[in-house]
Amino acid sequence: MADLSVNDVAARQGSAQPAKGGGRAWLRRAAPFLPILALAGVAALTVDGFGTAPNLIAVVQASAITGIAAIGTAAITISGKFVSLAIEQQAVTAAYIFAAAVSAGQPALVAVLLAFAAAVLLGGAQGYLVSRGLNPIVTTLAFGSVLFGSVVMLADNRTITLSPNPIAWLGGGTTFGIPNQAIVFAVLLVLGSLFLSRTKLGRQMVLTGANARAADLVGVPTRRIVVFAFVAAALAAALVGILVVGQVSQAKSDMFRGLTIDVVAAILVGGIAIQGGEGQLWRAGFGAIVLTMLGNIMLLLGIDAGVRDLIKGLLAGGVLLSMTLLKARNP
Amino acid sequence: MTRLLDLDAGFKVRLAVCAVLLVVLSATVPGFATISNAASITENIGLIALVGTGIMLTMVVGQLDLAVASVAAVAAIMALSLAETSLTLGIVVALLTAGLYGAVIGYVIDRTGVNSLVLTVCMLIALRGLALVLAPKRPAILPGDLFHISDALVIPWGPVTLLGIIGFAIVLAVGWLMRNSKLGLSMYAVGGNVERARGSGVSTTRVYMAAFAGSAMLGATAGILAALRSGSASGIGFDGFLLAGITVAVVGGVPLEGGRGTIVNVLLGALIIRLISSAVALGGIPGSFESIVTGAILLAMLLLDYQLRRKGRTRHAHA
Repeated sequence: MADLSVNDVAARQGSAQPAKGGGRAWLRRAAPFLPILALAGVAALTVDGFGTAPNLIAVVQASAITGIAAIGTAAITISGKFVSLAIEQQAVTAAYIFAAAVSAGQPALVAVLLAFAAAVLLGGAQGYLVSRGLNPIVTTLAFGSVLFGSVVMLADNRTITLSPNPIAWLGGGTTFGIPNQAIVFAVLLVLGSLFLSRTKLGRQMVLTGANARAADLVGVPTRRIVVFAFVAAALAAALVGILVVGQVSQAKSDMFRGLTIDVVAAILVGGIAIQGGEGQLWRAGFGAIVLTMLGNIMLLLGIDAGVRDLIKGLLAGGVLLSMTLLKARNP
Repeated sequence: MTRLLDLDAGFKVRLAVCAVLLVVLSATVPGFATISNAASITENIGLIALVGTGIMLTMVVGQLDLAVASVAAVAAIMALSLAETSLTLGIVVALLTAGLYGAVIGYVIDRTGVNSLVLTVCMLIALRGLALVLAPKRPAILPGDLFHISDALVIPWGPVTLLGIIGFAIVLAVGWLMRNSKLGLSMYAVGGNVERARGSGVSTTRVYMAAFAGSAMLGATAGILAALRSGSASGIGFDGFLLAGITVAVVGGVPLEGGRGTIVNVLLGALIIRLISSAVALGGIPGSFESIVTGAILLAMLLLDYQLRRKGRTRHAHA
C-alpha cells in the first residue's frame, strides 16, 4: 500500500482509462446501466403500474433526489472518511433557509445563495473536525443532532409553505418529458466523474482515500481535501433541500426522514469501496437508481415499508461483505 | 474493587463536573433538587448507561456498534408481542435473539475484516425494517393485565426506581466482568493492539463475538425496559438510543480507538448527560433542545479528547 503512486490510483478509476478498442470500451462504460435497464424492463412487463408515465417520472425524481445527495456524499467516501450521518439534517436546513428567505420576499437566487453559503459553512466545519482526525461517523452524528435541533427550534417546528413557488419549474417541471431534477442529477454525475478523473484536485482526492499517509508524503494537502469533500457533500445535500422545496412548495422538519439511510444504502449497494480510494462516482448514482426502483416495484407489489427497509439493509450488507471478501482475496 | 473503580485523573474530573453541575443546577433550576426528580434522573441513567455500556464493549475492542437503537426496537417489540403468551418467555426470546444476532455480527467482523461501523449501519437499516415488519400498523402494546409491571418499575423508592436499580446492577456486573474475567481482559488486549493480542494467543473471534453479543443484549435490555415502562414499543421509538449511547460512552472517556474504558466513568458520563437534560427539561425549553445539548456535549468531548491526545502525543515525542 505504501508504494501506491498517483498513476496506480488513476488506473484504478474506470473512467480514467483511455478508451481502447472502441466498441468494447463503450460496452464496458454502458455495463452499469444494463442491470438498471433489465430491471426496468422486467418490471414494466410483470408489475402492474410500473410502466406508466406518472410512475416512471416519480421513480426518476426520487432516484434523482437520493442520487444527488449520494454523489455529494461519495466525495466523503472516496476521500476515505466513510459517510456522513448528517445528510438529511443538512437538506432540511437548506430547505428551511431557502423557504424562509423566499417568504421574506428575497429573490429566489438570493435564497439559493444563502442556503449554499450555509452549506459551505456547515460542511466546512464538519470537514475541518474530521480532517483533524475525529471519527467522521460519530462527528457527523453529533453535528446532525445539533443542527436538526437548532433548525427545528428556530423554525418553531412550523411548516413554511411557498405560494407562489419561484422554483416550481426546477423541482417539479420537465424538459422534453424528462424531470428537471433528473437532468440536474445526470449533469452532476458527469461533472463529478470528470472532476475525479481529469482534474488534479480530483485525483488527489482519490489518492487521499487510497492512502492518506502516502498522499501526505507526496505533498497532497490531504486535510484540505477532506474539508473540500465535506463541503461538496453539504452542497449536494443543500441542493436536494432546495429541489424538494421546489417540488412540494413547502419546508417542514420531517420532509427528509430516511434520506441519510437511503444515501448510505445507495453508496454501499452501488459498490463504491467504502474504505475510499476508488473514484467510481457513477456507482453512487447507480446505487440510488437501483434502490429507488426496487423500492418502487415492491411498493407496487404491495410489500410494506418494513420489508423494503429490511431488504435495503440486507442488500447493502451483502454487497459490502462481498466487496470486502473479494478485496481480501485479490488485494 | 480498586481495579473496578480505577480512580484515575479522568474519574476525578468527571466527579468534579458532576458535583459542580449538581450544586449549580440545584441552586438555579426550580424543581431540580427534589426526590422525585432524582428518581427520574437515576432511572434514565440506568437506561442510557445500559446502551452506553453496550457501545463501550464494542469501543473497547476497537470497533463500534451503530445498530443498537434498531436492536432495542426489535427486542422490545418481540418481548411485548410475546407477552400475550408469557412476558418472561418474550423477554428471554428477545434477549437470546439479540445475543445470537450480535454473536453472528462479531463472527462476521472477525472473519471478513469488514468495517464494523459500515456493517452495523446496514444492520441499523435492516433491523429498523424488521421492527416495522413485526409491528406494522401500530406499536406493540403491553397486555392490559400486565400494566402493574410498568407501575412497579417506576414507583420511586426515595431517589431511585426499580428500573434504575436494574439498569445500575446490570451495568456494574458487566463492568466487574470486564475487569475480572479472562474474556473481559482479552477485550482490552484486543482493543489495545490486535496483533499483539493474537500473538499472545487471544482468540479475536471470541472477543468480537462477545463484544457485539454483549452490545446487542444490553441494547435489547434497555429497549425492553423502556417498552415496559411506557407500555408500548414502535419501530422508530428508540432512535435516540444511538446518539445517547455513543455520547454516554464518549463522555465516559472511552476512546474510539479502543483498549481503554471503565464502567464507573461511563456511569458518571451518563450522570452528566442526564443532569443537563433534566435541567433543560425543567427549564421548559422545547424538546428539540435536548438533541442540541446531547449533540453538543458529544462534539465537545470529541474535541477535548482530540486535544488531550495531541498534547499526549507531543509530550511523548519530546520525551
